[in-house]
Amino acid sequence: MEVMTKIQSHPTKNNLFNKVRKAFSNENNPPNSHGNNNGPQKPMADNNGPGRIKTGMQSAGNREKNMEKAAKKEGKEVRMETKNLNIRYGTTVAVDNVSLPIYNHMVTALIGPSGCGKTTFLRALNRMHDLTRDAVISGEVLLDGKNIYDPRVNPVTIRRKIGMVFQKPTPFPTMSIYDNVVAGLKLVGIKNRKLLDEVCEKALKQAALFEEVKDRLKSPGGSLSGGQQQRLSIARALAIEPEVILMDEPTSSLDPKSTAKIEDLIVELRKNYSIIIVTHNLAQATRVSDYSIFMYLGQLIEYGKTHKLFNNPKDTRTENYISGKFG
Amino acid sequence: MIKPVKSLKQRNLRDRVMESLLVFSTILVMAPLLIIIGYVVVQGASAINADFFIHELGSPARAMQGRPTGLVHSILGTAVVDFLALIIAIPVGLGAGVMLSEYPDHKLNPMLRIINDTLNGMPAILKGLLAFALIVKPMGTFSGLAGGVALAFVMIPIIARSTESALMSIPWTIREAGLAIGLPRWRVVLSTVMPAAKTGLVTGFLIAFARAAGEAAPLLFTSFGNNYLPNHWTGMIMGPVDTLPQRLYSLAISPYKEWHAMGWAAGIVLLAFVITLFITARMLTKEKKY
Ligand SMILES: Nc1ncnc2c1ncn2[C@@H]1O[C@H](COP(=O)(O)OP(=O)(O)OP(=O)(O)O)[C@@H](O)[C@H]1O
Ligand SMILES: [Mg+2]
Repeated sequence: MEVMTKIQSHPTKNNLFNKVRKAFSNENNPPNSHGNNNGPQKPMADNNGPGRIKTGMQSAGNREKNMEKAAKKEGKEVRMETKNLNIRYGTTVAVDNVSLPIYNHMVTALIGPSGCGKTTFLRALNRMHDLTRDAVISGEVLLDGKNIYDPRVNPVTIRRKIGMVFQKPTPFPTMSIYDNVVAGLKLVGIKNRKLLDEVCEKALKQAALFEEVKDRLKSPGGSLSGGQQQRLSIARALAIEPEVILMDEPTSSLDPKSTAKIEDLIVELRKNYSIIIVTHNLAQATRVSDYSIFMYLGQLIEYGKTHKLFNNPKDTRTENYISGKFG
Repeated sequence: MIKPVKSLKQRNLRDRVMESLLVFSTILVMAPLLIIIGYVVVQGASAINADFFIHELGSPARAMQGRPTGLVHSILGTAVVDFLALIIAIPVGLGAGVMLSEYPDHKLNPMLRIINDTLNGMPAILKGLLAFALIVKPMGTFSGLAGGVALAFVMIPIIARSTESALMSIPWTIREAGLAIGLPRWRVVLSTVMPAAKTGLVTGFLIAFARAAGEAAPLLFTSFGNNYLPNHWTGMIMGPVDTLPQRLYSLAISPYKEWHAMGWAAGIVLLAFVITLFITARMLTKEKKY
């Protein structure tokens, strides 16, 4: 908890948040004279590339559009949306015609029995299936109203906005702890040492790992324990300041104490990010999420406010699952 | 207490029998190697002395008149030709291996695999012929460069294959983790997968190197051979140059008894070199990966 309060009152938090995103836009796009209202105006704050502006306006435009919807929909803003999403591996249908909105600044839990397609669904949200040869995807996934599967869209840009934490920890084995955390920045050419140091410390603190590793940031990422490696993976995902974070059972390899810290983190991150978390831990879903999605055999069965879905399930399959009758 | 079906004594005996069988077959496998090494050393030891490493071969008269003669020009030539081959083969083989392992969906991939397998199975002498057509003909002279290219053809398919398997041994999840933090694919391969596979990659280079270093056939009509050390080191690249395997061959078929012992001595040097490479490769593989 101490760590959490520290983060909450972190004075440079918003600066850093913007700095990282700006560092990306500087690196990607030629500087131009358009300003941006993000954060304090440092000299480099002016260097927002045209791409950045466009997405900014895009999301602003969407915000307006969604605001209208929001009037009807209890003030919720749609950040992502899937439309008739179908995913199959060869002949196995893993995700069956799922259409749903993901709300901004909300934690959405994805639950369902093993093999129901949660991981498959989640991976479709940041084009992680691009490298899975036998995965066939149809339908649309929208981020701020734009289809991320549009051939003109670069998956790299999408993945910078939509970060992912995998079920199993995956530190880069040959890199130091420090390099692991800042890999997403350093390896695309961001060299500002001070910025990297700041980002590293902040991300490690958020992932509740800083205290344990602060004296050995130079030792290899593979030298950490399994649970520490998982928190390292979380820190690495946070370091690139994504806008949406996908988490696939992020706490399944963690002890109760680290799990509690990660849950605190998720609740905290909600202020700046939209989070989708796959979990088998139903208590965890109720603790951290605002909305819950129940999937069964690749289909979306029920989707709603977490407390409603858990206290008052509409579908008997949902009821059976949350009461432990199967799965 | 539950009694084992066989008594402890019986089982110990069986273990012993199995073990001695294994030791026996190990000896059987090692015997030819040991015999070769032993024979080469016995035959060539007399020709190994300081002169051997200082002087060039010269004409047969030198050896017959007891004047100092040696194979320094072959040793240096081998170093130059093998090094040339390596700097040609590493980038090409590495590139092909990365392509095979990291871009399995690429249109060119199946063709690359066929070409690589064909090159791998192609007799070494044909690789020499290929280098002859590509380099010797246009240049109008045998050269170390042509020899290097011929040996590169030997190394490339070996490096491509070993690179592919070294990269494939790295869990796929590492790549996904790289992509998930917004790295482009090539950057993921270069900065996360290849460093993790480093030992495997280097081992592959060494094995390819050792394999090519022992080849004589591709060199016969490329680097050709030379009884003398060229006046300038560039002569070793641009003109005919001696190499140990090819020198071993020509000394062995020569009619001079004095030269035969030198041929065996060339064999000792070659063996020592190749064995050192293999042992280094072996030690690297044993090293903890991560
Ligand atoms: N690479 C793949 N190739 C073929 N079939 C796959 C592949 N990955 C998953 N599947 C199949 O797709 C279905 C959905 O799998 P998925 O991993 O999405 O389930 P999940 O809900 O995440 O399960 P769990 O809770 O156990 O992680 C399963 O039937 C699985 O066997
Ligand atoms: Mg899963």
